[in-house]
Amino acid sequence: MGFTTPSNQFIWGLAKQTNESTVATTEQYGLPVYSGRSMPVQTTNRVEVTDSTSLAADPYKQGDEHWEADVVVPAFGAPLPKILVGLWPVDTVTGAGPFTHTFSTMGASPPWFTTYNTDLLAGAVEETFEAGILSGFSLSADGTGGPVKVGAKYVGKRPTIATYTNATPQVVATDGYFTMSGAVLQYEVDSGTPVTETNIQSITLNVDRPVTPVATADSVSVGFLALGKVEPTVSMTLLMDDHEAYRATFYGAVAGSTPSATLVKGSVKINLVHSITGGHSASFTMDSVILMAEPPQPDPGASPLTVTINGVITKPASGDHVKPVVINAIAAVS
Amino acid sequence: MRYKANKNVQVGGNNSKGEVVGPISFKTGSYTTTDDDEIALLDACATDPDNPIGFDPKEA
Repeated sequence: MGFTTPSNQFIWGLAKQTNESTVATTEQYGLPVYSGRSMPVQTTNRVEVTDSTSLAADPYKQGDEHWEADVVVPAFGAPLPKILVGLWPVDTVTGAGPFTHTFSTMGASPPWFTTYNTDLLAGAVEETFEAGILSGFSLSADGTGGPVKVGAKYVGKRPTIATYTNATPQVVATDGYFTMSGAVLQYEVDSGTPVTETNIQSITLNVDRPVTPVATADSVSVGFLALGKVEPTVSMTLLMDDHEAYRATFYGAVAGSTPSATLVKGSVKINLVHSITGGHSASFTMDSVILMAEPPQPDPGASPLTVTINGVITKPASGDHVKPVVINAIAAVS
Repeated sequence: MRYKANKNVQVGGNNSKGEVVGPISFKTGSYTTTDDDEIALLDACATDPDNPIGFDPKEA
């Protein structure tokens, strides 16, 4: 009796290309995933013509074959900058170890990435996914603790079956990870200076940039990617402790009492600590956020009263909407 | 263009085609370049008040 092929033997690989046409043949990072993989995407359609015998015509492939990835990985310290640089292309590194990576120019022309699926099918098929763009970044955690979950979405030009050199995979036990457990979370409903709060049950930061593969009349796989607008949002579930966000949302001020057209701007700062290395950390600062509260929901089950906040991140007085800083052991720019 | 940094800094990014630019090192405190891609990268840094790189008034 043979063994079945286990579905858990998988490492997702990532490398930044030096330019659009130079596909990386060596993984820069190998990451275990919570979910997701890179995958080819194609569209087939039947030829929409009439038929004398009322049979549907045979299909054809559109010229839009490309690849997409939607992975969720633990927030490992070393690879995190390599993901962030997809939406914040400038990495300024200071320090002599640990090194502080300050990311900026959110939404500027992005770099190209190669991604890889490693180990599924026992290495029988090595797939290289070339010339991709980061189309979405997310960061989320809740009261269950553990690694912060980083979501990364890529859209790329061409999948190929091609060999490459693996990176040594990141390991939860020995490499550690960034977590919110033991970290400081801050927000303020009506000020650009966030203060420490302890009632955040869960928080998710999303920075999305739609990327659309564009086929041409002669294409088989796409040669062009269209970049959409970058939109950052943050959402939180708060254990209810006051009505400030609620009143600011509907009544124009934390002490407001009548309907108001005013959009009150606050701020949020997510700080992460490292599970192993005390001097390593990460932070995401949002200096200007409209924190829109939903009315709390009554529940006959007597669950803790919570309030859901949907934050629209707006342009601050200076710098980017979201300002990531990562302190890790990597000296090189990402 | 001439840029300065008040501490040991290196910076990298890419140009409008997604081609890697840098890394540029400020180990000597200042950096002079005539490369358009580097100028665009360093201008973005120098105009960001959160970035340690700035314009060097001692323009070469």
